[in-house]
Amino acid sequence: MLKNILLQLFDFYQYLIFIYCLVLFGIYLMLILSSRAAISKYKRESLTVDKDILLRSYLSPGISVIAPAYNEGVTIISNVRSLLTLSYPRFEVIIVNDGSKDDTLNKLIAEFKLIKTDYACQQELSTFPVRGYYKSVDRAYQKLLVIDKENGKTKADAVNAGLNAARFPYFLNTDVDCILDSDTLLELIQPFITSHKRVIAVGATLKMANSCEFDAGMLVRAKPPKKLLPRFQEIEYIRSFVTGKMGWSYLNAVPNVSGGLGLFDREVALKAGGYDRHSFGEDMEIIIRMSQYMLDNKLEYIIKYIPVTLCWTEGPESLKILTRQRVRWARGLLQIIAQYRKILFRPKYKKLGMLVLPYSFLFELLAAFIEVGGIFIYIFLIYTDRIDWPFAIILLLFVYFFSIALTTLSLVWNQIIFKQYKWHEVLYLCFTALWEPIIYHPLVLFASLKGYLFQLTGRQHSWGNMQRKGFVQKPATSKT
Amino acid sequence: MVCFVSNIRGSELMQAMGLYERSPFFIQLAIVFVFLLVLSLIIIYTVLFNRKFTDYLSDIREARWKPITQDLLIEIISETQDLPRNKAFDVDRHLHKFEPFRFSEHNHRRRILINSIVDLREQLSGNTKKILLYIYLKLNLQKDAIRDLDSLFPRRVIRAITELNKMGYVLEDEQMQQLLTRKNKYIYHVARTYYFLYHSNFSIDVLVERGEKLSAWDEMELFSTISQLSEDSVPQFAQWITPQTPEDLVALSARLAVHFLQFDAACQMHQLLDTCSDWLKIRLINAIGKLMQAECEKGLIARYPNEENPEIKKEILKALGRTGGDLSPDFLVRAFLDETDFNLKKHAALSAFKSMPMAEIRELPFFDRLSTDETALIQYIKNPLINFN
Repeated sequence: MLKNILLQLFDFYQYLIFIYCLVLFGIYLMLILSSRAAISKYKRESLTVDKDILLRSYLSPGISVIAPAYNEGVTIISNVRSLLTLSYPRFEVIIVNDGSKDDTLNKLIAEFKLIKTDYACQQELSTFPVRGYYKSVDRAYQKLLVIDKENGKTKADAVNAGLNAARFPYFLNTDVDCILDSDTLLELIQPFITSHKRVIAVGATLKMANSCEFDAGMLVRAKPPKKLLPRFQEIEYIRSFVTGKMGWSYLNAVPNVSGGLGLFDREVALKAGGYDRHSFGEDMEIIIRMSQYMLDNKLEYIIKYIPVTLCWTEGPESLKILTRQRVRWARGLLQIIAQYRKILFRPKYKKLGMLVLPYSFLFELLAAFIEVGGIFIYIFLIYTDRIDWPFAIILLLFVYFFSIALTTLSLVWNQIIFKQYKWHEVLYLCFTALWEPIIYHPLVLFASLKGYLFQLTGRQHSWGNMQRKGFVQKPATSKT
Repeated sequence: MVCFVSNIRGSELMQAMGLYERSPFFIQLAIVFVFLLVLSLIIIYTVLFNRKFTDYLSDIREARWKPITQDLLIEIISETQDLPRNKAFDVDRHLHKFEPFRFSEHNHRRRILINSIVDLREQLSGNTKKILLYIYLKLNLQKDAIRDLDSLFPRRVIRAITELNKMGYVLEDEQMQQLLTRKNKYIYHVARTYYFLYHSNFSIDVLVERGEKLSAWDEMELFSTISQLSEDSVPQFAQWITPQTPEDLVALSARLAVHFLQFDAACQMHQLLDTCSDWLKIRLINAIGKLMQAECEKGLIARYPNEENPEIKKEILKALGRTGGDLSPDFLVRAFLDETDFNLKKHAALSAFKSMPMAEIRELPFFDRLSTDETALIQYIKNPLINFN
């Protein structure tokens, strides 16, 4: 009797998982199609926007670039110079020195001729105390404002301090160690000014900078990472941005805008309460918070992604750092789902409540548990000799080829549109993709489970700040 | 999905060929998908190699023909632009140099030549632009673009209009008007720019007829296009600053009136303030301030206490800092002292400083009795290191 009930429950579980997988594959197929539509739309729309007009016009909306810095003394000068050379008619660069223990602030003061100055701004968001505001006496650095504050332990606190001091209606949130394309602001502002609905956030593609060549903070030549771990991440990023986020963008259901690069509506961010300084996933949290604010006030909004690579960031090369990063991401996801559980499946919150959060919960958070559960059941079936090998292999092949096809499609698509790499480098990435489900995916899965466990047990872990190695410097000859 | 395999009563002796027929439905589905996915991978790799090959061919052609066409164009330019008078025959003398390359017969070569002319024309200025247009017309290169105006592919039409625009080739007024009726919004956008640049007697009414709401970019682009024209070739924009015109076009007209210093438009703007939306009110007050019409000062001051929207109040304060009337300084100082909103206080102070010299402000009786926050705000506003624009 009990055995029958257990067997029936087991059958029911299998059917449930089967439907789960069908829905997941269906969503992936939908994302492939919608990302294709989104990219085509982007290409068409970009034909009508003349960047020269945007660059010359005094009507271009102002943008505050906010970049928190913590112990970045090694690279701070070249990175700030890179930010100051962005092509845009009206912008300011706000560097928030988040209580660095090294010589970050002194280097900034010496290099940019900074002096402590009177600065009055409304403290709309509470942050750790600001020790001073610094402006340059050299007119060449008029756009630069350095805020020196006590360490707030999180990036969110530093960005909030920058948000309080920002003067312009839009702000770019980036990391000071990211290398931005000189056209970043020109590209990211376009969705805000071409849309008839209110756009509250725009993101763009990030890629690994590990093997790229730079000259004075500018990208000279994009190259896929040589080391295996960053190369896997490169593949993961391209798939996530080109297929995932572009697809969600077409459906106006973007779950998050990357913390490395995102342009936001300052007014909405402030009204929504700014960044949550206790969150492990502050980039996703701010998007949900801003969306919730708009929906609570019955205001229409759009969150967009553009398929252009505008930011290069150094990816972890060691397993230890990668694990730390992914543990933090997983903790952030679980924290957000718990924090916003009241929005989950509530029709009042439209796509946010019925699509964005349910997808994150069912197919990102639960996926790790289902996957591990599947592996255990597989082992159990092999052990009890109840497995049908031909069918099992067919299903494994199906999952494997689906994953490879999705990744390869994203890689080739990305290359056809933007031609950032040489074709043999794309082929190289395509071959790496063959190993990703076998080598890289289990590592990420393990880190995610660890993150969930840490979050559930309230265990502390290191933030995951990586030791910067710096980028390959080469004098500019040609840009690929 | 993997655990589902336990349920299958498949035979261990199942042969590879018979596997499909004897499988349950979902396994059949998986088999089909595996084949489809393998096929799609093969297609992707084929596309990859094909792209690489076509890129390679295209690069070869470009590498061969681009330097030739560019050298040829630069040679003609350098031999003709310094002549005392650039008569047509000066250029005509050199046109035979194009003949050996048979640009008219080879589409690809002709496209490279056109692109080179367009690029050079964008980079160079003065007489060179005329020479390049002359070559373009003499070689009858515009015929491709004119033919493409009727193409069914929007991308081609857009490329054609852009090319004609960049070359400064003027179509008949009727043809331009016709392009504006195209339903495709991307074609319409480029046609609209072309219309405002080259139509002999343009009117904002074409935008009213289209009935499309302007985005911030549309406004920026139209403003940038129209503001390139000379003062005597533009109409009086006050004629569109009326309650009948859609608000986005009123805002555009107000901005253009400011650019072309059409001071009379200020009265129309002021009259419209009583009936328009907050959004337009902000824009009109901004324009009134920029037109520096002191006669509107009284009206703006009277309006200030009745407005609830802080953005409108902010614009009034900014406008009063520009109008330069006699009433503004006192009003602004009072607003600075009375306002509790940080932003309004800041803008009142900024405008007060604009409308009267610092020395005069220092002598005002309240100056020594300011609160710490107010003093900090004054220090901030006086700070020469901060650019408030």
